[in-house]
Amino acid sequence: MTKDKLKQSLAILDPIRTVKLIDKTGSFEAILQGLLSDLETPNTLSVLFCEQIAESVYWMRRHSEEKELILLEATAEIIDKAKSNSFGSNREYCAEDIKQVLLGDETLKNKINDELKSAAFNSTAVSFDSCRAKAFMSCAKEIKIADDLIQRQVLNIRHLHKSLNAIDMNPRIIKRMDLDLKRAERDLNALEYDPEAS
Amino acid sequence: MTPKQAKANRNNAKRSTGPRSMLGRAISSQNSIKHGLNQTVDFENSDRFDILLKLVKDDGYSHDKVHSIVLAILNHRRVMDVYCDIYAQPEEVDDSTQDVSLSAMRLGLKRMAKDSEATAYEIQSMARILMRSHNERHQVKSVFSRIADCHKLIRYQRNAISRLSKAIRSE
Repeated sequence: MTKDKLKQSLAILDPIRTVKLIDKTGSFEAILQGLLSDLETPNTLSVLFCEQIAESVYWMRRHSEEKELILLEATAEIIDKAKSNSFGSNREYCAEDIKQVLLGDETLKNKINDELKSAAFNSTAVSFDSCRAKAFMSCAKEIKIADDLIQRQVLNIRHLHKSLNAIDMNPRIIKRMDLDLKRAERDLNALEYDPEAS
Repeated sequence: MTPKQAKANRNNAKRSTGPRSMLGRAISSQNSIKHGLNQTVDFENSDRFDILLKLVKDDGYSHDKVHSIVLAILNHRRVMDVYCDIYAQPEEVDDSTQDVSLSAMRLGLKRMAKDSEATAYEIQSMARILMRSHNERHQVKSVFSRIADCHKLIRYQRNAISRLSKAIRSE
C-alpha cells in the first residue's frame, strides 16, 4: 500500500522535479521517499511541497554536521596549540579524534589530559574539557551563523508543513462536508415527507 | 603609486560621467551582482511556469489561486537554487598546498627520517596523520565560507517562504 503510494507520488514528481541538489550520500532521496510514502492523496502540489520539505530537512542536517565539524576542529586546534605552544604547524589530533573522545573513548581523553598537563609553556588550557570550552568561545561567531541557518530551515519546514496540511487535508474536509450536506438534505427530506408529521 | 599619481587619478575620476552608450550601461548594470536575488524575474514567460500551472490547475484549484501558488513556488525555488549553487561550487584550492599528496608527504618524511630510527610503518602513519589534518583544516575553511554565503540568503528565504504560505492559505 505504502509502496504503491510512493510509486504514484514519484510518478507525479519525476517530470516536475524542482530541487537540483548534488547529494552523493543519497540522504535527500531517502528523506523525500519517506515523506512521499506518508502522503494521503498525492497530487502535484502535495508532492512539490514534500520535495521542498525534504530539501529543508537535508539542509538542516547538513548545517548541524557542519556546526559539529567546526567545533571539533576548533577543539583539536586548541589542544595542539596548548601542547606545542603554537610553535609548529603540524597537527597530531584531528576532528575525528575529538569525536572519539566525546563518544566515550576514555583512554584517548586521559592521554590528551596527560599531554596537556605535562606540556611545557602551556598557558592555554589544562584539560580536554577546558580546551572544548575555549573552542566554543573561539568559534562562537561561526557557530552562531550555523545556528541561524539551522533555525531558518526549521522555520521553513514549519511553514511548508502547514501549507502541506492545508493541501492534503482540504480534499478530505471538502469530502466530509459534502457527506454532511447530503446527510442534512436527506434529514430535511425525511422531515418534509414524514407521513406521521402531517 | 606616488601621491601625485593618486591625486591625478582622483581628478580624472571626477571628470568621469560613467558609461554613456547603451551597451556600456547594460554592462555596468551587471556590476557587483552576487546572487541576483534583488533583480525582478519574469516567471510567467518560462516553460516551467506553464507546466506547473497546467498540472496544479488539474488538481482542482481556481485560476487565480493556482497563478499565485505557482509564482510563489518558483520564487522560493529561485532562492533555494542559489543556496544549492553555493554548495555546488568546487572548493577553493589553497595554492601553497595543492600539490600535497600522501606519497609526496611520505617521500619527504622518509628523507627527513633518513638518519633517525623511525620504521617505514611509523613514517607512513605520520604521513597519514598529517594528510588527514591537512584535509580537515581545508574542509573547515570551505565550511566557513559556505555558511557565511548562505547566511546572506536568510532574508530572501524568509520572504519567499512567507509568500508561499500566503498563496496557499489565501481563499
